[in-house]
Amino acid sequence: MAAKITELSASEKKVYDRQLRVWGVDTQLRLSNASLLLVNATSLLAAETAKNLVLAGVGSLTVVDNTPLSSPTRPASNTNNYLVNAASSSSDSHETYGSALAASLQELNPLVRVHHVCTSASSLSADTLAGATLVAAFGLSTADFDSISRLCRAQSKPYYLGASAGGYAFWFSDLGDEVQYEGDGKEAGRMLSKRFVSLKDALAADWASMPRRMTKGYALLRAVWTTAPELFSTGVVPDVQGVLHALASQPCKETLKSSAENVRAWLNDEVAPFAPECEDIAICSVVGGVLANEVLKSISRKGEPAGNFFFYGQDLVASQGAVEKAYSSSNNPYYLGASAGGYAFWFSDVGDEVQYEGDGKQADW
Amino acid sequence: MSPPATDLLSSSHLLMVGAGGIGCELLKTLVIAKATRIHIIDLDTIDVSNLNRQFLFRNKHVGMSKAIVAREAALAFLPPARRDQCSITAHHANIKQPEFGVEFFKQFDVVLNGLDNVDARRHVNRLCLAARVPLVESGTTGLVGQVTCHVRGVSACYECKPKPTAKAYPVCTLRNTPDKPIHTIVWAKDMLFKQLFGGDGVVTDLAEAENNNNNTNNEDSNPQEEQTNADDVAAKFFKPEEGEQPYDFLVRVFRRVFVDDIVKVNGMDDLWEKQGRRRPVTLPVDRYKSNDAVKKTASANDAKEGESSPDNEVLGLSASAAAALGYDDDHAVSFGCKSSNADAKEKCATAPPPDHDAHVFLASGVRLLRRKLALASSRGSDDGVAFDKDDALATEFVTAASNLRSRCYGIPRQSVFNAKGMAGNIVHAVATTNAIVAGLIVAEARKVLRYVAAAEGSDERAAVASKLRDTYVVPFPQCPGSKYCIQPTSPEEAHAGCYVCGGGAGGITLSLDTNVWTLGELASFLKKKLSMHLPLLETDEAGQLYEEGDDLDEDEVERYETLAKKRLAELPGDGIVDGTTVNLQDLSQDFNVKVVVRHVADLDEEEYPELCIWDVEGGIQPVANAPAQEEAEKNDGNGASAAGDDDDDLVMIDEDIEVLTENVQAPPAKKARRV
Repeated sequence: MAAKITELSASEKKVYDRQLRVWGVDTQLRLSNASLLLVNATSLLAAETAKNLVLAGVGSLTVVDNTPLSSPTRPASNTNNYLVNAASSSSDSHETYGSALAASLQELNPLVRVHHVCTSASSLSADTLAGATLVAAFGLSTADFDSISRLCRAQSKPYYLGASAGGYAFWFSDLGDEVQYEGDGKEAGRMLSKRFVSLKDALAADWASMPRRMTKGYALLRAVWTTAPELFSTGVVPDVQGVLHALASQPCKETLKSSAENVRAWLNDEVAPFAPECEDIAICSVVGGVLANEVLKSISRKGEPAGNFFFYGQDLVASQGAVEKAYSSSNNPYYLGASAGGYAFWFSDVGDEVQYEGDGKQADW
Repeated sequence: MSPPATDLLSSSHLLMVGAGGIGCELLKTLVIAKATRIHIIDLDTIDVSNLNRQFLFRNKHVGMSKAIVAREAALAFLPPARRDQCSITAHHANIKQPEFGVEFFKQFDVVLNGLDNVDARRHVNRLCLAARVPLVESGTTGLVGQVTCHVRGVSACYECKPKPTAKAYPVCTLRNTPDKPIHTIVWAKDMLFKQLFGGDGVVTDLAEAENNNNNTNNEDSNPQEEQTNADDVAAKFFKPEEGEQPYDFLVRVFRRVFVDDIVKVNGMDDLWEKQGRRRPVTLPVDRYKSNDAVKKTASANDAKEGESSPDNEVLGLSASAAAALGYDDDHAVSFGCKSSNADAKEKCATAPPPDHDAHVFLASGVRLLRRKLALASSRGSDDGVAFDKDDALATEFVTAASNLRSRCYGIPRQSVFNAKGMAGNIVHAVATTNAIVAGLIVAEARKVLRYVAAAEGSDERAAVASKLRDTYVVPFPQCPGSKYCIQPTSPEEAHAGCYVCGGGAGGITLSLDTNVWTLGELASFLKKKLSMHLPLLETDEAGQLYEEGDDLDEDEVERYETLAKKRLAELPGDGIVDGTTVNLQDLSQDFNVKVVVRHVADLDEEEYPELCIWDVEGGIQPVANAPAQEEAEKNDGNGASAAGDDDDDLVMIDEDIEVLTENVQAPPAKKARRV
């Protein structure tokens, strides 16, 4: 592991000048000392997010991917993954999406160390995870997302999962049972903590404990999770009717569900005709930006981390980008306390209902 | 069922204005979204500080055209088969050039703005209105941003609500009673730097300070003439005398501005205790002036040996003098304080500053003066050295001068990094926000294109119109109770009285002293205030009084020059006096507006730094002039919710904006109307 960086170099100060004015030298140093693991280079959302993180100046980023560039499900001649394209068209030959993406990312910012590990998401090992500060995985099947979630949980690694299909995208975060961060704004200088749960628990949360104005993106995610497990990896939806049925049977208010008409239009017009390349660049640009901001924030440990879900989309969720919190109902109320020097605090979390309720002016979508 | 909206991008003709932070992200997003016919315009070249976010550019591109490099890089993102089908036309040019007029705009289905200044935005807005092309507008600062859509008949134009203008600081505050870091920075940059290193004939308020103070008692004797003579005398002081060494000159200037002027202003008793102000103190100039390292750095030249041409001399006078003196930490509030610990920094900030500001002032000042002289001798005319935030010597001189003055006045010292930000009006910028905003622009553009494609009056058109949104990007958690990082709202409705899209219905009143203002001053004020490019000014009584343009003949130029020097009341046709309507026109923008002049004498400069009152009927005073705004910005430049405007309008947020104060507004979440 590289020695801890305690000062910015002259070229870092020059290149990062404008962003140092946003987050300061301390945060930039924390980024320089962070190592990120990025899983699955085929995803357009992965490329967008990685681009933002590399530009921001994380210390190192390792791309985990072994998808051949000539894969039948990912034809190299017809792809939207622009960073992979850029590397593929250069003189270097790349055999996998991973090595092409890594080369492009390295080109974006020579101050960052970019690596490539040629292995699949499903065979990701604890060893590969060991040196990482944080893991971000994209565009996988629900089974692979589950296994990454379990692996990271077991290793106590903070992780983000993100995916998009047509005009819909989400990301999920699990930063651990009790992640510490420094408050900002009115809470500046105070150490606070926030609780996260595993993907499984987040998707099994009891509807009764959910915010009243939960965005429509969440119910939809639960519906596709069980009925279209390959949606986010290949764009294949075996049974549109099945998705609609699963959505209809979610035990929540109808106002929290996207309309059947919109869901059908989404799957039939925006996803199916373009599979396996059904990710939309405009959607990925937005969600990859928000996600990268969150990753940067969690590395900086300044400010409350958003999550554990973020949803964005066009008609399905009314073009809103919403942070949501969905925890399993099995979570008991808890209190946390800590002290440092002449300062102590306690923190309570007795439930989720009131946390992110909209104010009176927010229309109910 | 309608085909996917994405299809329309590939069959439409798009104009992108700006290839900077937002532009790079937008061009990438457009080509991947299968847009095939794009024109992109940007007059800028690439700088190293762009590279953290303008990701189509690399180190090797520094100095090259943004539009041209962006085009190449974006095409490389496409697989070869698609590259051939994508046509991007890059213009390394100013959008205000005549070839980009109404006819040029008419060929596009939608215009997408990724601009960095309000002036150009207003220009594009007028051309879009004239050519009847919808506009999608955007801006970012740090972690906040917005995308708005301006479709005639559906939503407001970009100018339906007044935009904030650059903050003007009262000259007397800058000159006599600064109490904030920004005051001493503006003084150092716009008065001292310009006076010392500006071209031949430049006279700033620094030199005028002298005669204004002296003239208070003899106003009866022809003040105009005396003023001019006094100006000359004062301006002469700030030039090296025949045979005077640059170092001695800088010491003389130092003694003048940090000792003599301070003593003088200290003698103006009304300014201090009565107003609750602390009196300024002088600096011990003799302690600083004989430092050998400073003298050596000042006289050094890093040019290659063996060549002694003036050009080589200029090149050799660009390196930082502060670095040569060992002060190389641009982030240190106080030199020698390298700890990243916030507490330690705080202590350093309050410790008495050592002599380095004075040393840097002298060494960098001498080098700048030598550069100015070398430039003058190589060019044959003295155009001076203009302040440039990327010029190390210029920023360190301004920082040092401002810190020295701050020390006189008990104002906290600023690091070079901070001072550069303030002096160069540098806007905070990150890649993520630009990426988010670019995605939102494309999402909105798709809807606008569907709107344009739908038949007028059709249900389809009405349905798409109802889906158009203005969208705001805010960091989480911006505001307790809001979970939306991406907040869509209904677009603003057009303002019937808008003087741009409302057909001149709205009235503008300008109150000023018609016996003091000259026509030239009025014309340049109006040109700036109304973001006009080539203004033409006339009154019903006198006809054309002022015009700018390349096609004027010599007689016209001469006539307008003579008129420009006249006081408003003395102009032909009874003059521009109380109640006169001034007609303004800009053919390059297809723009007309009427301004009614009101005569008012003795406006208080503290209250009206511009010495006039600008009033747009039904308009809202730009937020930037509200005192609360200044406070919010001073704190962290991202204090979005603090600025207390009572309107739910937002100040537009700009990438690398050129003016000081409008860069920091996001919607307080509670104010953004949900739809």
